[in-house]
Amino acid sequence: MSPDRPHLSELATVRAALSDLGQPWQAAETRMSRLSPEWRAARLGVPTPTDQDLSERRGQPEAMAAAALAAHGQSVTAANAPQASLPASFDLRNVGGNNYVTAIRDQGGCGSCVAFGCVGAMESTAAYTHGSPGMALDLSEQHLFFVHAKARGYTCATGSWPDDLFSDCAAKGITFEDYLPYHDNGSGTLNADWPNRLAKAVGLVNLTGDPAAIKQHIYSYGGVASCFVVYNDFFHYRNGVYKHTTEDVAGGHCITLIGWDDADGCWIGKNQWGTGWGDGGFFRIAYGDSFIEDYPGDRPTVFGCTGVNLRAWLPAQRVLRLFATANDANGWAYLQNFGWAHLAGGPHTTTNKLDELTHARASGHAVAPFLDGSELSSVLVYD
Amino acid sequence: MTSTGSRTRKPKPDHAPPDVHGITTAATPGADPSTMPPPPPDTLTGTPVSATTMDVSAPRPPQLDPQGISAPAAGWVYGRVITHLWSYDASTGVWAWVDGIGWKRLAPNSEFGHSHMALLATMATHGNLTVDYHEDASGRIDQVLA
Repeated sequence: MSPDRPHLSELATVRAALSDLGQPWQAAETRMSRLSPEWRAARLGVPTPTDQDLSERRGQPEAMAAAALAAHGQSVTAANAPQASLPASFDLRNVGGNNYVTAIRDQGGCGSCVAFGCVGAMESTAAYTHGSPGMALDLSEQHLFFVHAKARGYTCATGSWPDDLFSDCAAKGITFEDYLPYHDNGSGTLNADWPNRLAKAVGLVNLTGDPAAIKQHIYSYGGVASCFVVYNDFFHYRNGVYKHTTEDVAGGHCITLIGWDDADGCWIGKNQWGTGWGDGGFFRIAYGDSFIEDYPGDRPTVFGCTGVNLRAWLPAQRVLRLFATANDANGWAYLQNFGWAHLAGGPHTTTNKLDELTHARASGHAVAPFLDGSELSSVLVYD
Repeated sequence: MTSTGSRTRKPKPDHAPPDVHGITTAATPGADPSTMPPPPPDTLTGTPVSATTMDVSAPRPPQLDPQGISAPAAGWVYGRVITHLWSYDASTGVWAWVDGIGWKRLAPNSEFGHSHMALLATMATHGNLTVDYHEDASGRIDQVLA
């Protein structure tokens, strides 16, 4: 074994343990495997639980796994859900052939994972609740972590908590990636126009410790941010259903849960360690494992939101349908990558917008919409 | 105005609620974006202006094809083609000929709303686009989805 590649001996140990367990998942040399323990730990941005925290949670994994499985068939009350009861499996990457999950990101060498977990939840929620897989929202983790979280005293080294950061997403909002791109050293300047290119989470929901509620939320609204304990074998995960094979704790981490599979007894997660880790950046983790439904300690650690309000110009797109009624100012447009938007303003401005939109609809010309919540405030028709 | 030629009588317009015919709501996750959703739920939130009852004394459009007229639907009608439009000198005087159904007056609840529906009907006619529409209890079109 090469002394400058110590992870190879780690891998051998993990593989031996997996063999004893019947190969529930596959270990491989990932981009995380090759990092030193210090650089791996730098990516774990949820404060590590104490030994006492962990010991107090004995029995929790089994209870959570049972609760997750028992949720199958449970009635779904949210109007947005595709069906009236929870299915045995669900994956936001393939809902009737549509993908509501944004691309895998890379948090780099900073403990900013909570920002990525929250933003991943918001991006999928925005697309899913609008029924618009093509929305391709790309929000600024940099804004959330290096501006909002920083104001709370959080740094790359301290990590942070999703209750704080998701609250900031709701109260302050975060701008789009192009207004403050992510750099793991925090460099960059926020575009001064950011209040006009903003996403705010609405309907914040604490789902901690309730696997059925987590499923309900994913099914009805989109991804949820969740924290879990990272054991040292997790860095070598390639695919399969992860169950920790060692008790060596590396730290705490936050990701976005995007689905589940009862047949395999697992959640489906979206990580932000690039596509060179895991299954193209995604992973499956056994129900209850690593305390993923309820992180040890006092703080709530699983959050979602029921919607995302945008205030921004969106990319040019087609107008697919228009709707009007006999009443004064009740015009609507169905935008290809947004869904229904109400034409803002009074009857005169509704008339003006309908003039432009009927032209665009009939001719196939694209329109760039400025949206404020579900209100279509401005329209730019492209020739 | 030209005649639309002979038409066959169509079955009575469908009264089924908007969530049938393979159409899902805009907010329904998983909806194929190429599959158009029905109107937003609060479709009548605008301010009614001097809503009128059926104005029997108002001019009526020339009959194009008596065989093509069916009873008022008082509900949603899906996937129809508007082939003719007719208007007279009143602010809410637009009628639409719905292929297979006949003349339908655009509801005169408000001048703006009437104009907005006329805009959509014009677009649909010009572009040969099918429309879904809703009839009120008097058989007038009070919602248009095009």
